[in-house]
Amino acid sequence: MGERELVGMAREGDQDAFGELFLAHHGAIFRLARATLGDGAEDAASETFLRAWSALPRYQDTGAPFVAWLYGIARHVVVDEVRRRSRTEPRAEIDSGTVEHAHDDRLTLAAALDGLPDEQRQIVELKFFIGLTNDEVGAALDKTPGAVNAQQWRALQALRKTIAR
Amino acid sequence: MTPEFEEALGRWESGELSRDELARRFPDEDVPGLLDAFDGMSAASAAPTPDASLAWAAVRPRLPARLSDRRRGQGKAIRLLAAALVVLLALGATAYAVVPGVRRAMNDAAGAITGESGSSTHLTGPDGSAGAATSQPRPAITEDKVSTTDPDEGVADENDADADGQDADGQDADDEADAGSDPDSDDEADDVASETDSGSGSDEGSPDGGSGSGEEADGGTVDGDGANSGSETAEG
Repeated sequence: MGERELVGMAREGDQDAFGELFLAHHGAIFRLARATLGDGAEDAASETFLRAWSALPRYQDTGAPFVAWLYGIARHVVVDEVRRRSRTEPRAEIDSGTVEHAHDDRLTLAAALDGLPDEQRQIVELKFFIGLTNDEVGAALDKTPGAVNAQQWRALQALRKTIAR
Repeated sequence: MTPEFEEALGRWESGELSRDELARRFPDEDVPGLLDAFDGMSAASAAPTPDASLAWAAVRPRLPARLSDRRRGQGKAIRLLAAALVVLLALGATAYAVVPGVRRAMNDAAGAITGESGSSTHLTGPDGSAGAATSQPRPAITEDKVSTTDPDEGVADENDADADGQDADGQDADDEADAGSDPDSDDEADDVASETDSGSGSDEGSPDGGSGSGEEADGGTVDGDGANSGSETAEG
């Protein structure tokens, strides 16, 4: 069964169809959450799908992959979690020297991504974490594949410079 | 970064250009650095993820029953509207039957409407009073009634419900009032719906008169019941 049919059934309240969509896209949403949040990525991914289930009746098929719509929800979940953490955790604890090297790398990458222009950040996240092709990213963001390619490389150049500092 | 370089990077990504060829053609660009950044991001996206089926097992029980709630709300609204309509009609029928002033006023009003519009003279029954209670778009049905009704009965002006072709027993307004107190609201809703639809003239020209309207009303009731049972299932 195609993804469009599954989405249609899930909109009508079919939890099994929604489960198929969950299994297909959970990894992508988890990767996005992990890149930004690290710990708590699984909770963020679950929260994304819970919100998606509630929002599905308002979903409109624009021709973009369904996971691009999930990505939009996941971004909100991640931003909410970052704000919550900034209120409850002192910054010094997050950046303490006791964290592991991989954790440092993740924080560095997250900060670098956060410093990109919105459009470039979206392209990088859709491409590398969600796993879309240039054509699919273009459909999601209403851009040509050539424009997506150009923005992607500019974003990677900016990331490299930021991380190298 | 020039457009030519961006295009060449895209060709490298799609496998049309090798890394060495790219570096040779753009010696002034940081080709190794860019390609390393690309590979690093690709590696980050390829990192293992937790078992999605386990995550789904944890999420599924937490899914709110959003659609069932909506249908349940719609079912309640429909039932409430139908009950209100039944009560309103029952009150009107009771007032018409019991209070002479109301009956006179309604007859006067009907007469005034008939006199002003001048369009329902062909609807007038044998006793000259039925046309006031029958809507204009149903001449065929009323003419049948005129031709099949014994003029001596002269009940066409009070039995509004007869106009829908549903009440075979020729019940009077008191019977209607009694029906209004029937606790079976679904049946009442059907009756009301069929009366209302019959009055609209939607079945004009239909050989079975108001029966089509009755089917529509039944369909609506079934939908409501179905929605209700659905929500109950979801609650379970």
